[in-house]
Amino acid sequence: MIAGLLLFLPAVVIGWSAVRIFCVLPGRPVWLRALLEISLGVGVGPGIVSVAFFALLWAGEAGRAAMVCVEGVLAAGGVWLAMRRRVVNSEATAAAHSPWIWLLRAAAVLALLFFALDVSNSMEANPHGGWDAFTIWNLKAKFLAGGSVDWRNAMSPVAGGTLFGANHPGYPLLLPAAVASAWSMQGETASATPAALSLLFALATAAILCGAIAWLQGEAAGLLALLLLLASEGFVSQAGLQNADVPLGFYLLASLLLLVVANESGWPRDTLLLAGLCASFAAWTKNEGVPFAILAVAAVAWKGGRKAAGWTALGALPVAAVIAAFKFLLVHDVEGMFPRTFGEAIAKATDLSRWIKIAESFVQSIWQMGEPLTHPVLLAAILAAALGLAPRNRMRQHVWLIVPVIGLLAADFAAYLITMADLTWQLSTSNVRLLVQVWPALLFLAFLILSPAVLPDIQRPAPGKIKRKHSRDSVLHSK
Amino acid sequence: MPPIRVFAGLIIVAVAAVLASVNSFQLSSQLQPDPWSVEAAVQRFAGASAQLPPHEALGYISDLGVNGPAFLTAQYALAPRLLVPVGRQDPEQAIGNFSKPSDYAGIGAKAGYGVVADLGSGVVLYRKMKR
Repeated sequence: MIAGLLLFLPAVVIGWSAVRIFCVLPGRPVWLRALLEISLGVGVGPGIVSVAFFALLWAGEAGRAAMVCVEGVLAAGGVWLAMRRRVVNSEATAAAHSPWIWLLRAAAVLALLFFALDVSNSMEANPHGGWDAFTIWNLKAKFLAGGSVDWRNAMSPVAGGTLFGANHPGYPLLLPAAVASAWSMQGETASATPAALSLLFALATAAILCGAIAWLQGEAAGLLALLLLLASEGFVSQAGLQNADVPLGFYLLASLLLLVVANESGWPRDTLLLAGLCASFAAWTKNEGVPFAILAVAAVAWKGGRKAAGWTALGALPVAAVIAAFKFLLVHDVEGMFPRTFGEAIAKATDLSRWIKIAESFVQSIWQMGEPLTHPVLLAAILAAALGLAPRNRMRQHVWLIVPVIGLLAADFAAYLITMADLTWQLSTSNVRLLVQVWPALLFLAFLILSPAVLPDIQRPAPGKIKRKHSRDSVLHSK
Repeated sequence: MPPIRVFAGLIIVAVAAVLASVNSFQLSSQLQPDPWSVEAAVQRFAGASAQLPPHEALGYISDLGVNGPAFLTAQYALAPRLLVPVGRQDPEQAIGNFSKPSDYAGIGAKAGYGVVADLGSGVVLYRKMKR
């Protein structure tokens, strides 16, 4: 596991550099800024590396030496640029600690400890991951790691045999390519490597949720958000299974956080570029990320105007181009689960019983996210009762952020409506995982509408008042 | 100190969240090891994988069909080689994946393949027979 984690260290450094270069984050407290930068980098880095590795594969140059060179240059260049753009001033004030914060800190440490033990058990029982991991994601990673001869097997329509729903030639390749790049450098396909990446994504998701809410609502609220995430059995049970759902959840959450940062900082173009990049990584992780990315740009257009939306779209453009090239030039087969004619789709979509069955399944999946007495929805309701809700005008300020998340769930609902697979089977095998994808984002949004005023807390820096030193020749700077 | 309502809410949520984490941990302790026999397949096919060329498609011969976990775990274990059910394509070499002792040679011959090695545990190496 340690070796697996170390293999992703260059990618994390690349991601951290990109975040540091592109995103204006508060200067103080230092731990909060570091937490957000590193945890964002944990996802952004493997995303960048996956695109680089895939491009090298396509070009026929994805050997170990090439990857070492690319990662070395990106990491060294990134660190050099990041250091030149360090934050030099902030109007944040010193933290005002309440002794009661230690109660939440202790609970968070305990929850993290049990989370780590849980993931350890899961990885021990499933060293190659869950069903989707060994039939889709890690299998594709092995094909990609096979190099110039075998990588196109990742788009094969027969790799899953004749089992219905087992062949996914057009599934995006962020996770497989990130794992394959590490395997290429490792020289073997050790099962600990995708397990390490899975753990990194889960921890980074928890860290972003905690850090983002701490930045926006104070440390106590951040710790409570972390506790609710770790109380979500659905999320925790997926963390060690090496599926793509937790990484997708990471990119959804990271995109939303960056959009909030952009909104509160006057829509700086560099933050919007990074938000667009994260949204595009969501689409490069799973197909569900495509509607999210499109709706994220639309939401920015609504809230920040066309110029802000343009910068966000520009940030998404490079990876969107890779996805388009992949889908149109390399994938020659369609998913067997979708109807082949418009008539088939209409017939299924107008069947009322399917609507009811899908709605019931979504409710059941929310129920399955936790145990009845400690269910995260119940805990969120208790918090709302204890703390109260934010003023209505503040809640209205965040409505635009709901659009991409609800839009993604609506797209999922529509996909179920028209699926050619047995609906009961498809719902039972995927619906909880769809909830897991949006769960961190939903908790993030839920905490935005809580009132943190009465919490024992640190003081946070005033958003939008961060000054940073910009290098003279930098072309990426905030307004 | 926060108001009593807030304090009570924080205590309840913190304790409940930790209990939920403990419960998740207990559930994970009861997980069945290797439920789809993936690790078992990796071990079974390790010998074959060492003998087969690393970058060639392989024919797949089995008494278990190609529509279930047996095929998928074999494909995972032998990747990056692509497994192709014999009859659709006929690669130079094939792998046999059997659930019980059988007439491996006879089954292979029907598909045009001869046994190269019986590696045990139902794993058989085949090579295409010259016609």
